[in-house]
Amino acid sequence: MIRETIVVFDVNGKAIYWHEPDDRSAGYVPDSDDLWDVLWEHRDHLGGYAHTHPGHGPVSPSGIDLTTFDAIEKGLGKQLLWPILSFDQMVCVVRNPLFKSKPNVTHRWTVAGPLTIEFDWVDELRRKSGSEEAPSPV
Amino acid sequence: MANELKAADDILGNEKMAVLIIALDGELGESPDLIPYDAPEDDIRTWATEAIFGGTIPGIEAQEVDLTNFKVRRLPAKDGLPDRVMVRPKTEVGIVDIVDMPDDVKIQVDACNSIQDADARCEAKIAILDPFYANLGGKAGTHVYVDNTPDHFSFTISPKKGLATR
Repeated sequence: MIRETIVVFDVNGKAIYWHEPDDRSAGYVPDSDDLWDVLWEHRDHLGGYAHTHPGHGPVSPSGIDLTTFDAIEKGLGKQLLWPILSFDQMVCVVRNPLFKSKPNVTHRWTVAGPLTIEFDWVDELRRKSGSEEAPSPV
Repeated sequence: MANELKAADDILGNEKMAVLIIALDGELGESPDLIPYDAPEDDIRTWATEAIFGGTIPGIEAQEVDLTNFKVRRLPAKDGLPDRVMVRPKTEVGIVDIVDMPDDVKIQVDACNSIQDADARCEAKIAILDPFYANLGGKAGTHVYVDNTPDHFSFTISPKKGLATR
């Protein structure tokens, strides 16, 4: 089944928690007390969490994504890395060093270019999101 | 705290009172003022916002804060701890909120280099949504532009109608 999935990773990029609730869908992972508890518990060495937008092609953060990133960083009091993956591409969303006081949340974030590091959970995250069941890109 | 809760209950009748806890700036701040455990979420967010602004939460610096994207979590008394109400950040992610699925859905695409870039991203999202809508007996279909700025495009897709044109 094709469904969005989340992996939480530490400051070394290592996976520390897979978030695969039954009520997630191809377009949405609902709010979760369990996920928040993990983020809070690991806040001292938390690197961020990655999630999938299942399918092939370019990815970019949704408005829901950005408001969540904004809230979590405010709650934890630290900046994190927010990778978003399709089945063949990945971007990393980070807080924009400029425009911190802009009221529109979309101005407070930016998309980083290709990273020079590799995460060892990328293939597993795509598989858990249903990449093996997805039709090939046209 | 248990005695304070009991005293508050005695004064207010049977309304269950709770400790307000706020997760902000890496701290778990506990308000000295109790709140009704079953209060509406909007009221709880408002009280939390005012408490933070007033600097009455030990451990949390007084500041103006927008808690719109924070959730309310109710924690019943357990293991000697009183009833608590926690305000913490939301954790949801996704392209659309599943609650909106049966209706038109607005999708926002940001930081696009061009209209063609925006087109490609929107089509990619529709391709992702199509299988899900198919399960509901519908189809993501085509989309229309709304609310555009040079680097920010929004689209509305009509999953079941399939009548929208660009």
